[in-house]
Amino acid sequence: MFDTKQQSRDIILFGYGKLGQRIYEMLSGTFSKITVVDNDEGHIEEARKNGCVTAELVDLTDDKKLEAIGLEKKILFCAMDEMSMNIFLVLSFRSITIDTTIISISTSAENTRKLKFIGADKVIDIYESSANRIVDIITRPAVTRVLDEIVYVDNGISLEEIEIPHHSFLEGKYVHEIDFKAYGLILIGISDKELGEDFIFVSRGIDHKFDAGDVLVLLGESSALERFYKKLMEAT
Amino acid sequence: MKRLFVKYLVALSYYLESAPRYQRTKKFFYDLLNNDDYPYKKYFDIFMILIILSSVTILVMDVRERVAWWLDYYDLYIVTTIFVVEYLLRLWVYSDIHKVVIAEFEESEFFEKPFSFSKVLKRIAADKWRYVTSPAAIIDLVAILPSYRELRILRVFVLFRAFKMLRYSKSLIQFFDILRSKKIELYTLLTLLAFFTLIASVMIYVFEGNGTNPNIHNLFDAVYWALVTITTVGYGDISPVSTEGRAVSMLIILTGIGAISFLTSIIVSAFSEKLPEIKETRVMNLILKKRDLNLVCGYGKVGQLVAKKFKESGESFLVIESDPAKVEMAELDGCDVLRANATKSSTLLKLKLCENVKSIICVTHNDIVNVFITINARSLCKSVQIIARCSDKSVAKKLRLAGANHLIMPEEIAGLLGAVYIGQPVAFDALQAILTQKKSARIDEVEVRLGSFLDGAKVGDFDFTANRLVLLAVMKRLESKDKSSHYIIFNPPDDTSLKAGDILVVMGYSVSIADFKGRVEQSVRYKTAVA
Repeated sequence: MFDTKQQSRDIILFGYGKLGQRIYEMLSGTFSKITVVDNDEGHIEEARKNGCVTAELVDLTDDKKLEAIGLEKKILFCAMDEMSMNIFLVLSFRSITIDTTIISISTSAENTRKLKFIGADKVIDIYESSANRIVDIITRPAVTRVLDEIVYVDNGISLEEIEIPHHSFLEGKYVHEIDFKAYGLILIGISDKELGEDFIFVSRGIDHKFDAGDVLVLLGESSALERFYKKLMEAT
Repeated sequence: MKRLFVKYLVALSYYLESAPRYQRTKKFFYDLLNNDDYPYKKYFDIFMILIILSSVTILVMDVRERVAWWLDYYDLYIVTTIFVVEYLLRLWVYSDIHKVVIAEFEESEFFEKPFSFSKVLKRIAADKWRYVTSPAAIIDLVAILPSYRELRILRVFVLFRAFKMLRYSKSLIQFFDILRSKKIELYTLLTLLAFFTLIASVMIYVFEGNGTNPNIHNLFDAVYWALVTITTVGYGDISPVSTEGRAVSMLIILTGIGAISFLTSIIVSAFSEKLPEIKETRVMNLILKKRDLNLVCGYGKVGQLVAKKFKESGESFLVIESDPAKVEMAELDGCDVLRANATKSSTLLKLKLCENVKSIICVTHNDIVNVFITINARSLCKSVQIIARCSDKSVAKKLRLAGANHLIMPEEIAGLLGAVYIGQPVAFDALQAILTQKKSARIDEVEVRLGSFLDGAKVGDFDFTANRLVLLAVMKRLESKDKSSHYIIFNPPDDTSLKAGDILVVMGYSVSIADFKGRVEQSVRYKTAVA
């Protein structure tokens, strides 16, 4: 859409088994540059059949062959059906790469702990997230519906992050000075580079001063978000 | 004269049949006396047990010394009156007299026969007689007797007051039920014991009853000795003196030990066999009192996590699992578990699906089983919320057809989360924090209560920002009364009007949300007080 960064992200998905296949389906909805890597010939064939042209058969236990794929500056998504393989992969990546984002699937709290320990940037526990969802549906139905509309349902409402460019109209202004409602947007929070990577929820009530480099998390309709983004860029 | 009487009787019967107050009263007493699910029965039972205990204490004390006159008075009049009233109430609620009269009247009208008064009486008497002759009723009646002081022998019936306690204590009843399940074994053992006692007593009588043993005067002494020995009690007031007598003793001591251990093992095995059942009854008693129950079918990975989170958030839930190993695990984790098969309709009916259950969560590891549970639940109840887990896409369609409200596909959720994280890591972290509620920022729902300050107001009337809240959306109720049919307005403009039943979805810190909720609640009280 307006954020060109999104499409340009290079993703390598490791594993195209039962789990990987579904992950690929979900990712391919948003991203175009996805490479599938697996050590099973059948899985690779399956991937090619489902339209993934960049599927590669690689011996995952060989570091040299892994490096040959070209991992640097890419997002590495481990979704092998075997958990031990995911842990092994994450460990390999940590030892042979410098600038990568490693995401791994986990199936238990124990594996999550191990994966985080060996250096995965993000661990997604598939059962934990499912359980969270079930509990949310029951305990907070309205909230769940609203979040669904935002995250899952494609109805134009979305949550986006926008980085404030240099010399934009926001720079030097305070939160209370900007009427986001007039833009049809809701400001959820700000991630301030100066104050560390911590995320500040706007509801905390701190009157934050916008700086270039701050990342705003905004909720609103795509058109409103786009208008706002354009305006932000214009002032440059 | 008779015709007039019949006419009034029938009129009265019809009046009773249609009188709500009479029906209510009768229902109340029925529940109080017989319905285990009735919440106040417990208090009645405790009250009766206390009465019985006090009465037994008085009667026991009375054996050796005279008790105070007012205690005697209390026992004689108050306790007896309570017992008599209870007995009569039970007799009353056991069957409906007026229904018999109405049935006979309608029958006589239909066949154009005269109204048979004797037939009605006979039928009523038969009904009530059935109650009077039931074991519980006999015990009740006998328990009233000890109040009659003139006959001292009647004091023995104090015991029956203790028996009467059985009625009010479920665990005692359960104990007898368990013994009943081993009836055949117990009978066999008793017959065996009786046989050996008889043989031993005859033998000792033959060997020592002729004056050899000064303590054995007659056959009763011999039987008494045999029983005391065979049960390994061995008082020693009678002991064999001759060699033959000792030989008999040695034999029956050995049989006695065998018999006693046999008896113990029967009782123990009866209990261990019934243990799951006892546990189940306990769980059921506990569970059936709860409303808004969530059923977690399957205690696999997802089931365990869901149960844990429910426990943390204080939702009431019941785990249904058929695998004994997993049942045990759930018990160890401190969950209420029912070992049953959720695909069977009897399981769900037992839990009063339509009345008590809010949602059914099918999270067994097998997609097919989840489909079966969904079909089973939906066919029994239209309104219950069903959340089903599945891995396969083709099953997803079937689950929707079967009537699942929400589908949970772990792989899909993981993929979506992955996609959101890759695309927008900052937003993802924010979302994650909100979702998992680990940080204090959270999203919550606040319902616009009837008569609160929000009811009839506009969104702009309340300064959300000043209260450190962010209003994300308003869910407006459609005209229908159905609660689930809300439509969502994101980022509502200031002039959006609010009505009772709308739900505000706000983001903020726990304290701010709690404060806001509190204000909504308070304004309701204030407004209704003014009105």
